[in-house]
Amino acid sequence: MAQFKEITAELVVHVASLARIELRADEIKEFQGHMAKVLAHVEELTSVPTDHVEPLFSPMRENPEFYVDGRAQRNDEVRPSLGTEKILRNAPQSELNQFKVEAVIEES
Amino acid sequence: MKNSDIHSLHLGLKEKKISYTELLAESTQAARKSQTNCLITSTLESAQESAEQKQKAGLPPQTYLDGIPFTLKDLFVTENVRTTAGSMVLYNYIPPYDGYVSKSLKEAGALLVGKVSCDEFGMGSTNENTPFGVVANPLNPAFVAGGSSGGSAAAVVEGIGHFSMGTDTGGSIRLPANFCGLVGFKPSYGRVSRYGQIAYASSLDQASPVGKTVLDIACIMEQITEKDPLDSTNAPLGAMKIVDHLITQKKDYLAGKTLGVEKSFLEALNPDVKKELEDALRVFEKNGVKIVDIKLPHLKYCVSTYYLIATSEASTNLARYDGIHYGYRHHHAGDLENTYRQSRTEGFGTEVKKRIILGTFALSSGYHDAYFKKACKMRRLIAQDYDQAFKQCQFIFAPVCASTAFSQGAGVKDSFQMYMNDLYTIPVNLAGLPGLALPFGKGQSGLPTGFQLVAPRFQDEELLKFGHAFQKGVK
Repeated sequence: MAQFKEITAELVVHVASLARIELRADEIKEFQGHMAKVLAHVEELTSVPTDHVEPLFSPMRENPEFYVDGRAQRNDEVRPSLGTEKILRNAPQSELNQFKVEAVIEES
Repeated sequence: MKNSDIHSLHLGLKEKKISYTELLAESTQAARKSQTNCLITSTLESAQESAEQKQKAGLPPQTYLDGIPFTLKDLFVTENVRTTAGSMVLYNYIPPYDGYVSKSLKEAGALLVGKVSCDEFGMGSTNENTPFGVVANPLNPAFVAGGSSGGSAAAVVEGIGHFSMGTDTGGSIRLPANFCGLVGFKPSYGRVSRYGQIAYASSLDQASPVGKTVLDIACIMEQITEKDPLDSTNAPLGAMKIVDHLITQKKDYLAGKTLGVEKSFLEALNPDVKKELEDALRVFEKNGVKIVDIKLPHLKYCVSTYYLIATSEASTNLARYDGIHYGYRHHHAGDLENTYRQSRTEGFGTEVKKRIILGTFALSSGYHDAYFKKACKMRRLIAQDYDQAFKQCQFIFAPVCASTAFSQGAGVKDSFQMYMNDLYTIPVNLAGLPGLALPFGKGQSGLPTGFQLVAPRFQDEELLKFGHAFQKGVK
């Protein structure tokens, strides 16, 4: 099952980076230990043969009777939306009725 | 009135033996005296206004919940009331809309008195994983209230509202209910709309009430089970009609029912918990329930299965917290990429980061099939174990936890060890079944013990009838 040899500090930092999270040195150590423990425990699953088992992703997929061709249906009705003013009230920064972020394209 | 059940309070309001404002005043007092740190945001002022309006109008209550004070776990979005998910990431988030649960309970006339604490995004079993501070067990402050819906359970025991809505992804309502001597009900997956419920693991999350009796739970369920077109995973079963059944239930209701027990589950319990559970089984037997031996061979793999699936789903769900549209932002990060990184790094707590990183790993290229997909196959085998067992019995009896409430500090010390405690609650979420945690007896620490009953998918009404009959049988 598992292809990795060990959970290295580099691996932890890499995965954290994929998730846009930065870790302090002490956290790297703690997370490394935690991940190693969890993944060692998870190894137990390799002893169960599952080649012919269909994965169960969500319990509702087991209830096709509630869906039409596998899709939930509702009336195609126009509903009022919340509107820009309400939405922007929670924006950390906004300007001209838009979300404001740090510059994406550098000025030349 | 603090110890009255919702149905009695309803009758009291109806017959004008108590007033809406008197009833609320008790919760206000309780909130002032609270010792558990369960409240994050108080909404007593608006509850007071509503109670006064109801009093002035002089109308009898329109639903079982009309005029009944309650609290919401801070994972349910509430229009114009701060909703934090127990996280720094949302410390200043004021939702522009009501989610399904908030809206339904408001429409039923229930009075929201506050938003209560929980482990950050529902991730934890002790209500210690939150910058808002640990929630103490209301029965003994040296212990935790349990998690993740610890604030919900503590509030009900303290009398801050007569019920609370929590959520249950891997036991988050059943465990705190068990630790605090309350009834916690996780409905079948899909029975209550998740619209406006801040997501942790979408295929497992379910809105779940906690109250003092099964009858209380029934009064709540009737108000939150309409089909909601805004959640495509919400089953179109319509509003439950259950309260009248429970009130008129015959005394010999339990006679002839079959209850499955996996014996090995009881062996692993602490002796004090085990003794109480055996006593509970004897109560069932005395009332004519037939106890059946069952086997659930794949359930021992549930912790591995759950922590792969739940963290994978969490890593995608929590990708939305990027500091751009709402919530915490690290200002002046230099560029957009660093805005994401710094906002997430500073916003999320340690346990949440652990789960995001584990989930990101389980979903990453090269590991997806070995971890996430493998876990989903295990999930199927666990669900099939239950299907098999339910051929032999109508309900299943199981522990909620091997021990009574944990001491404070246990949850933050070793999160891996803490995951192991979820052994009895998470298989129910994996299979999407309804689970009802009932209090029964006391352990060595003097804190409550209890057990859970499990029923086949969408047999929620039958499960509540069975649980109610047990509570009446004990009396």
